[in-house]
Amino acid sequence: MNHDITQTDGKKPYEPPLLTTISLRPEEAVLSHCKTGGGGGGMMGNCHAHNCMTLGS
Amino acid sequence: MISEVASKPFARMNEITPQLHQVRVAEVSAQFVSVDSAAISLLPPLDQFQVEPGAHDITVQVEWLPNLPVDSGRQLFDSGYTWRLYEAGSSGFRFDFFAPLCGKLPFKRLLIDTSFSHASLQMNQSSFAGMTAVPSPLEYPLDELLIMHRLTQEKAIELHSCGIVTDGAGNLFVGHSGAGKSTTTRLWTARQNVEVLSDDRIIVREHSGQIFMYGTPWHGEGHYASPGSAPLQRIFVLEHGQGNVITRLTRSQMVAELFARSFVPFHRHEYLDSALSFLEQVTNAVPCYIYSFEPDQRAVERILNFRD
Repeated sequence: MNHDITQTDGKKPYEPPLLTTISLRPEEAVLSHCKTGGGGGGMMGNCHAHNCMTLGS
Repeated sequence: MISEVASKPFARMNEITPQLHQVRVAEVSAQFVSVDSAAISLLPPLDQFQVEPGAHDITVQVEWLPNLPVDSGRQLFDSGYTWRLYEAGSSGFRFDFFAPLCGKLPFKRLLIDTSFSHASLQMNQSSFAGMTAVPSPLEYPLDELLIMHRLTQEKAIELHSCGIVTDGAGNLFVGHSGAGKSTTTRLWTARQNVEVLSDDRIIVREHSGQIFMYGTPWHGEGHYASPGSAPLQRIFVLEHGQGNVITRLTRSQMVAELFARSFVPFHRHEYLDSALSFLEQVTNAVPCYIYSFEPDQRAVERILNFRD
């Protein structure tokens, strides 16, 4: 059986499925860190004293 | 940062007039009402999002309790550090918030219905015994969690990104921490007639049949947090590279890349469905690219001169 389909048939050439790996950062996505100072209040300010690093850009 | 009102000792709290604040972030309005005369305050930059009290999407009643009752309920999610989520009855959620200085018990608790429209915020007075200053009940991450969950009811999503507006059009630069959002913000703000809606968190949503980007209070290193908005023209997924190369993404690639850089409640599949469905809608309306850039002004020039 010939699976080749060409442009001359008026159809798009066959492209096999492509698997792509996407990088996730769950520690950023779940808001489980101390945000940069200013938006946080007292408790978040205290986070900085507990070695919680700011996650900026 | 602790506000003047929030820094008053507990003994004086009853002397303070009950308060009502309303904020609006990306067309979502939340009203906070003090129900026991205790002070609540809007800290910067949330105060920039304050609006006149009126019609709103979320009502939050704030109260101080001597202790928070021990509560059961199935745990749905553990953020690993600052908050945990539990079932609350058959039609609601319970968010418990923790901080190292307050011990193992939650220092505040948010009870909210599943439509994210009515909530009770309970502050645990015993968590602050001996402290001369107390935090604002509305401090991060409560405000962001509240809006993020409410967005599941809208056609909207929050993205890890910086939003730059030039000539009324919005370019969105999406990226994980370290991808270059702060650098991009710095490069663009070196120019004139540039507005930064946020340097770390942007909400993308449909409004009047068009896709807009909105600033949020949850800024990055540059402290850009604007309540403004702009029609979304293009989306760029940032990565460090050489030559300022722009590569168009297919729709499926775009949904995957944006979802990986989104803030979505992961504890219910309905919310993920909502997020993915909206991202698919965005792909129909807005072109998306990978932007491999070098950190100098040529990166800005490349975008300004770019045509789809």
